Amino acid sequence: MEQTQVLDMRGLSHEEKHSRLFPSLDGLAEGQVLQVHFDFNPLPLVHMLKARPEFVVSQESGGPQEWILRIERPRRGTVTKADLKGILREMKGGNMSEDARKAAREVLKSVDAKTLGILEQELIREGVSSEEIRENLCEIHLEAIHDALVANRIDVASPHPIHTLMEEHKVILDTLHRLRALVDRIKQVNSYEELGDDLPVLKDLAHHLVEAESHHQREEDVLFPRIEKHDITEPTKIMKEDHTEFLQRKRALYKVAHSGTDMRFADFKEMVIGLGAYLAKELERHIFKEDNIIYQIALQVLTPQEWADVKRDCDKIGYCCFTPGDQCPTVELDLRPLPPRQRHQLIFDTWRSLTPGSALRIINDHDPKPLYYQFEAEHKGEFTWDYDQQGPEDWAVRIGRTAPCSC
Amino acid sequence: MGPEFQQVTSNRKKAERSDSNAEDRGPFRESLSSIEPIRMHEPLAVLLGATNDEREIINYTFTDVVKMSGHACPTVATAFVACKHALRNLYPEGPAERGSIKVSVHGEPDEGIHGVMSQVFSYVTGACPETGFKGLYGLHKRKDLLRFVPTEGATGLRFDFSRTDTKDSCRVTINPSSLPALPPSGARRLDELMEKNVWQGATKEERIEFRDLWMQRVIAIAAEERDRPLWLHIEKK
Repeated sequence: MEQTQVLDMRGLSHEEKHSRLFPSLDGLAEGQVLQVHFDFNPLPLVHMLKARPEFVVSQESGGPQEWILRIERPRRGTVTKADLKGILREMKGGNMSEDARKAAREVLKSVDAKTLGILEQELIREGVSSEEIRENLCEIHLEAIHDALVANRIDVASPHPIHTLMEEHKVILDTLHRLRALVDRIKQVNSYEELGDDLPVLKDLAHHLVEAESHHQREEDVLFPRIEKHDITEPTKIMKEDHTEFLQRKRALYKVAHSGTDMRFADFKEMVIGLGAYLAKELERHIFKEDNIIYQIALQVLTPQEWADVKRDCDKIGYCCFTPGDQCPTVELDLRPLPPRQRHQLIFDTWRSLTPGSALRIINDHDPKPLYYQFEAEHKGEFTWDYDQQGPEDWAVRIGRTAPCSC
Repeated sequence: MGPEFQQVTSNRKKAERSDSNAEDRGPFRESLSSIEPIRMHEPLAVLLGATNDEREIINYTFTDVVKMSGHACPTVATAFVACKHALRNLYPEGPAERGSIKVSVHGEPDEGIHGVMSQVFSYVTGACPETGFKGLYGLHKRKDLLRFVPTEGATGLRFDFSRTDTKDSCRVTINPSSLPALPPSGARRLDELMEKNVWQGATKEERIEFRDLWMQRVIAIAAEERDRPLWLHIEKK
């Protein structure tokens, strides 16, 4: 039977709140509930407790006079090494039934990340390979906790570094979806002639994938070391191992895409399908883990000063597919008073005079879609195109000039 | 001696001659290896017997700097030229004395191109950061001769070179936007070729074209010192 303790924090000083709350939390036994009353919105505490998997937090009252939090330490099912071995055995053949998969998800849902980590470590000591654990157990654990992770995700606004990284993820995911579609089309053709316009599409996708390397560089050089300073090292290590795998495959895909038609089509097809399918699947999973685990851990543990340092260092490295607003010098051009015949020339002259990394923002009295196609024809890969406003009377578009590598 | 043996010997000699020629020529482009070196006197090398003679002059060539940096680029080229002229300013009479020069870099070590430039200065002058040689009996110390100091609000690239013996000092200011540049079409082409070359998607022709384009700026800066007064300013402090 559930036991509830009540803690009234209203009217207490900061020190008094601190000295009552945390011992009460530590003393909460499995199956017990702590109901805490506040006279302010305890949002930071909610975020902090969500990072502690042993607690389940919900709000029973949301102000404006009183906020009530319900903090439960649920009973955990006791998961054993034998359970995990059983799951791995089932998965080994590669044809795990949906029922068995569902049962495995239920087992893993009831175990917190720390306990799972300890059990996995013991299995590795007993000879189970870390690859097997990473590929099988982690995959099904992620399935089991997917919804809870997304529901508890903390989102931050621009120009916070995590906002930028997550926006970049959206652009990369779009590239991966296009890559997956391309792989499906390539499966259907048997010659370069049949491939037709999909070869330039492959080159374009390969370009976007390698361009995103600065995203990984910012993570590895700036964000991950700061997470590791808080003694959280294993998750970042796994992410870095992923990056190495992706780098090799991105390079191989880029090479194949630019091999012309020198390669035998059958070899070309096999390589593109293999590399493309791997990247589309694994990079997407990796992005999910970063958005919902790594970045969330960072948001919980890094101090405001550390975030200021992360932002400064990220700005120094530079951005790839998404540049935070405060880092993008913008020239504005209002085209509305100008005769239409003067507009295109002025736009191109102004845009070409921009330094890489900056942008031209145009305001027009109609959708400048034809201009987009002219850019696509003349400056493919050198520009970005983002609508700030789309009608009904005026259109505003930000045309970025992408930054090449400089030395 | 049978004819087969003679043939093998003759081929080996030919190969040796060819290797020796390759060594004479060196691995670097003539336009880089013919750049006037920076002449230094290195008292520590003399003291510990590495040189033949007490007044032996050691040449620090541009290709030495390329070996140290692992590449040649406009930044490495600019650093080499800036260092050469700063040392001429401090030692108008003759070779500069390695290990007796302090270098202050205005800005943070990881800011922009400070890291690459300071490594070139360190290599040529012997001025080291905190990892440098601690000295013998308080002499020949290289440690902390290279420092990063606050920018004091100034923008651009600024470095101070000073002699530890006379305290003479000069300030080097570099204006990167005035460095020799490729024409816009060449710069655009270089950007296009950069990604293909880095990610190994370039054809043989594109690899050659990229290298030649890249080297055009390096040669204009390091060998020709083209428009130097526009981008390099040195004043006595």
